[in-house]
Amino acid sequence: MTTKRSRFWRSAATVAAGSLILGACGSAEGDESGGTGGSGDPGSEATEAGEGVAGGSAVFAVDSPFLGFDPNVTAAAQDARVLRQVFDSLLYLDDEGGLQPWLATEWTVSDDGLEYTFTVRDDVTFTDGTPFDATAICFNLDRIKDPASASIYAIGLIGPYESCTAGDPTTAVVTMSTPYAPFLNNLTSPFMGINSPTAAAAAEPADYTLAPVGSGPFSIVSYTPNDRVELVRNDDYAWAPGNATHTGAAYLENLTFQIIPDPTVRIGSVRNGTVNVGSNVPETDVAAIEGDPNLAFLSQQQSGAPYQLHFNASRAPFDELAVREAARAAMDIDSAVNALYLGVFDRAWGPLAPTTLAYDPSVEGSFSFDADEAGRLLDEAGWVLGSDGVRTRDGERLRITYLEGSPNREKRQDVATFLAANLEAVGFEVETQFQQVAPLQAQSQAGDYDIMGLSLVAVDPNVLYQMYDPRFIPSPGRSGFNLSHTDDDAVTGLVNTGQQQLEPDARAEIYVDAQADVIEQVRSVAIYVPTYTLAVNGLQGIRFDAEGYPILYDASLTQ
Amino acid sequence: MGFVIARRVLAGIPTLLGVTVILFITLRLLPGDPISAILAGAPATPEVVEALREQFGLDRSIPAQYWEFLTNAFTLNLGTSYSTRQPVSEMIGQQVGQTLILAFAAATVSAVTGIVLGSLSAIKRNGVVDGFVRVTSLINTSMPSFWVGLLLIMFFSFTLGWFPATGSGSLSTLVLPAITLGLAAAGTVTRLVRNSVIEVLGENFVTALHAKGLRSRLIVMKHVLRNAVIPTVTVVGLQLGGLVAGSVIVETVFTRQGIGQMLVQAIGGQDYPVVQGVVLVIAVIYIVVNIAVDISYSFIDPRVRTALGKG
Repeated sequence: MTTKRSRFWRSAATVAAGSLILGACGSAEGDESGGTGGSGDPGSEATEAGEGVAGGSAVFAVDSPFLGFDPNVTAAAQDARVLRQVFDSLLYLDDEGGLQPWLATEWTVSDDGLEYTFTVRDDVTFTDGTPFDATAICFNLDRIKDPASASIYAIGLIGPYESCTAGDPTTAVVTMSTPYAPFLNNLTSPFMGINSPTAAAAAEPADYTLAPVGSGPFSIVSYTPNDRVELVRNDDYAWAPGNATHTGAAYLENLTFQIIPDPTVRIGSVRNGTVNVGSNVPETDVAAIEGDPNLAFLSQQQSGAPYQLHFNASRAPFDELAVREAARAAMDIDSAVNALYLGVFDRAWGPLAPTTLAYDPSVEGSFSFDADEAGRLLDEAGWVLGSDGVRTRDGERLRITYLEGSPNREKRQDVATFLAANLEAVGFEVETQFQQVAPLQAQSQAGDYDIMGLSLVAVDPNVLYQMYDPRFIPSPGRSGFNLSHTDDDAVTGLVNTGQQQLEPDARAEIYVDAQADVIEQVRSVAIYVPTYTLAVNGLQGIRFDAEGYPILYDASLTQ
Repeated sequence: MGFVIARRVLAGIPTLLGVTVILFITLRLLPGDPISAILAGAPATPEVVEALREQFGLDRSIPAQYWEFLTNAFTLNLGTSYSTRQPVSEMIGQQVGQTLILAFAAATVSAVTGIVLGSLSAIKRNGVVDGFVRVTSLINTSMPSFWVGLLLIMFFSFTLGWFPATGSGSLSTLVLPAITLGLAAAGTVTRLVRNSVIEVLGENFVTALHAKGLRSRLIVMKHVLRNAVIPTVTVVGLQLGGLVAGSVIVETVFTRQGIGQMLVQAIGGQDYPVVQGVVLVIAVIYIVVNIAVDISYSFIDPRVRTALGKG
């Protein structure tokens, strides 16, 4: 239980809407100084943390454009990679998943779980010169809640937030309308970075999102859409979180995030030294990068909900447990993951990724690939194999629609093609459909699919509430992540109690039961653990935060 | 002449109106809705959805939205992007220049390569040069431009280090993308020039010139090309429009700024204002280029000038 517990508090965040479109973020393996985790090579010289050399410029190449940098508003994981450098949060999560002070030095929760009292630092200044105090916290929370801000992601992190009062400059009291256990974890997210109230109030939202002001180790100096965002060091920075490997200002004087969509060009640019870091490394390049003494490969598993296929139980044939079990047994997930991701992504087993708090390792190996068993289950359920290889029952064909998004993020369309062949081999008739985001959402809301893939970035297991509470079953005009159309008191009860249970061990128990239920009922079948990968040249000391976003504060050039 | 131009510009207005109406309706007939696309499945409170709808003007009827788009377009206000929440006209303003520069550079590559290789090929008809040119232009046209782009980057950027692999703004960043985009278009121009030169070479006046004792090179340079180049100008003009619209792949491979990238991202996310704005700008470019092409005829061919003058 100790392991489980230590993982427990490592969580934050509900679901990243934007990450759904824009790709992975990493998570939680560590705040350790080596900065690697997952399947990476922690010993690689180029990233060994040590005494950094101050000065110089670094370029970090990402794979897709940014949407904006107002943490209160934006929802894209890509944006969070910049936000983490520019904004500080109230709290951070340490290696063991324990909450630690950052801008807030102390915090208490009332017994009824409705009132949070924060004591905050009095020596912090935003990069526009505004001093940070308790009113800044209230300003940010109110700004997120204001419908005029149209916050997409942060609003989900504050849950039933009701109000905030700053009694004196160092004390903020936050009130919830109902107990909300994920709240403190969520405060560690870059999307809960604290804006300068002066700057945010002075600018039009459309302008502010391009040049927001935080108190972080870097500040944004210029942004060229579809090209790059340039950051400069905050020389006055003296409030780094306790897990940083140094204090004071960041080592790098200038830090640029450049958008290079093509993977060959992105990684080629790392190789020839034009950029220092390239994200989203193609699996086929990993071995060569690891073998190159000048380069380092870092990877960080993303916590939350790993990529999983949700079986739509609201209509035939997946309204029948035996058919769902048969479909799961028919899929050779190990082979699919090995063939497509070459060991860079691990296979996933349950509705939570291994680095998520309350992850239950006993889900691993709890079912196996067995095409014969799949056939038996379908035979028993009365689905008879026809001469054309498709099963029928009472004249009804065993037909399913497998829906996946386009473009082909993380080869998910290839996964679909692979697994559809597995399903067809045991007598399913599979129609795979790949849709752009807007039609995909329309079809999802119409419930017109039997299998649909999804992964969500989160550090808190409350992500299960988003996936298994009937309130989030998508319907026309209403979006939600309950893609399995689960409406079952047992699991709904678990995910709702889990959200309100403030005692960590008891909370973890609840989520262990919920994970078991998902496996038992075959509500979804996990495929792989999304992993954020970096190729690095000439930069050391990159760390990842609890949600797996890179931290460049401790990073320095190797020569 | 001025009258002719004015008339052509006026004739462009109904075209533009037609484009905007069709675009406006088609976009809204597509399955899905922009708010769901932004949320990408994330549950949102009805208040947030309502706030977004109101902010984007989607709470009003389609004719009302169209009227607003149209009246605002006259003041160069193209609305606000749903995904970035930035003014579309500013977004386009920042990006369109790079796309135009790339398209013009590529059209130049296409025209120069096409005219040189096409005439060579025609003069040395059925010879080794002709065979070589015909095969290479076929290859140029058939190779996907993202692949050509990658090959050029591998060789000229990563191996030789002559040109940067990414970026926009400086001349050195323009070379490889312009070649990539231009070569694909050059195949068509080469074949066209070859055919027209061969055709003109067979005309009686060329025989007469030969009879007068003029040197072959002079005949081709001074007389044949001038006649052969008219259909080429038309095609290169049409290509220019296509190059603007088709720059997206090259923009992506070379990480250039440009409206092509903007358009593709916007279509996927049903970012109506961005799609409308970019398509409108592309339509304007098409119309302007076409007018320019028509006018250029009169400089190339005096007969057209006379005809235009009369019109």
